[in-house]
Amino acid sequence: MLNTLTNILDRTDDQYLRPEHLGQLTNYSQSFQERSELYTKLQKLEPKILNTVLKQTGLNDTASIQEITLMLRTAAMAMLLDDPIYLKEHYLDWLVSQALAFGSQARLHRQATLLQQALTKQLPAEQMVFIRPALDTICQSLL
Amino acid sequence: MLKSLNQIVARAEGSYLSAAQLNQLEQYHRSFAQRVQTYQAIQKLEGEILSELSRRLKKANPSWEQSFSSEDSAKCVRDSGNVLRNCTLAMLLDDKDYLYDHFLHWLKTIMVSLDHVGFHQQIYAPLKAVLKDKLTPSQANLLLPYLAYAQSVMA
Repeated sequence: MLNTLTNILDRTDDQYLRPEHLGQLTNYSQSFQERSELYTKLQKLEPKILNTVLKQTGLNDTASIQEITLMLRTAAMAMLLDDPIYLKEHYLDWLVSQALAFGSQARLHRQATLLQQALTKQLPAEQMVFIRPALDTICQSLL
Repeated sequence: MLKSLNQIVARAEGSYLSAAQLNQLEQYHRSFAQRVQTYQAIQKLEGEILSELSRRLKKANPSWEQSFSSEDSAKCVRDSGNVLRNCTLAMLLDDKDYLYDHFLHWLKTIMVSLDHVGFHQQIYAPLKAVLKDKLTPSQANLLLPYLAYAQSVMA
């Protein structure tokens, strides 16, 4: 929404916002409380989710812990902001370049898939709706 | 809020937002419905507001009829409309920095270069009075701080 808002404002040119743009902002604003509650919940659940994913990967090194933690935190922020461009510019471009440089694409993709599975088990469907787009995008970018 | 949000996000890299930062965002979004409602009310009333402002300006300054051409009057109404629209957008965004960066800085440069600062200043008091008449008290309370800010920048 941050980037959407910036794009909307770039086009206002001293005029009122178009109804569809105002509607877009209103829809996001109406969902913010739920997003914020989920964000706080993810923060609390982080150790549990991290342990679940690490156990399933069979790895417990510092690099894996950092990778999964960053994946979860960035997905949580992208969900809070409802902003796929934030996800791409602040995380995915870097993640994909790292994956290619170090040949870690398959490992990262497995981490992302297991993270999504762990969250699906921990969160009710109505909360998964908010974070699934970010998780899907992360998984797809590592294919 | 836009600037605050950009700063919050820029500082967040790899960590969670603090409870205070999250609370700041929640408070803004809780007020958003009222901001939108005020934004739409002003949009709907803009013609009435600007006509009434023009009438009051002429009444308070009868000599303007002789001193200024119809083109000058039209420019004054246009500038007032731009001030109103930009303050209204800043109210929607809860962002005085946006108002300054995207409008007031430019407007002040123009007004100073044309030596119109004193003339431009005269729109604010009647505009605030018209808005108090046309808007509900809660709508006026949301908008007027942005007009006061614009007035202080343009002083």
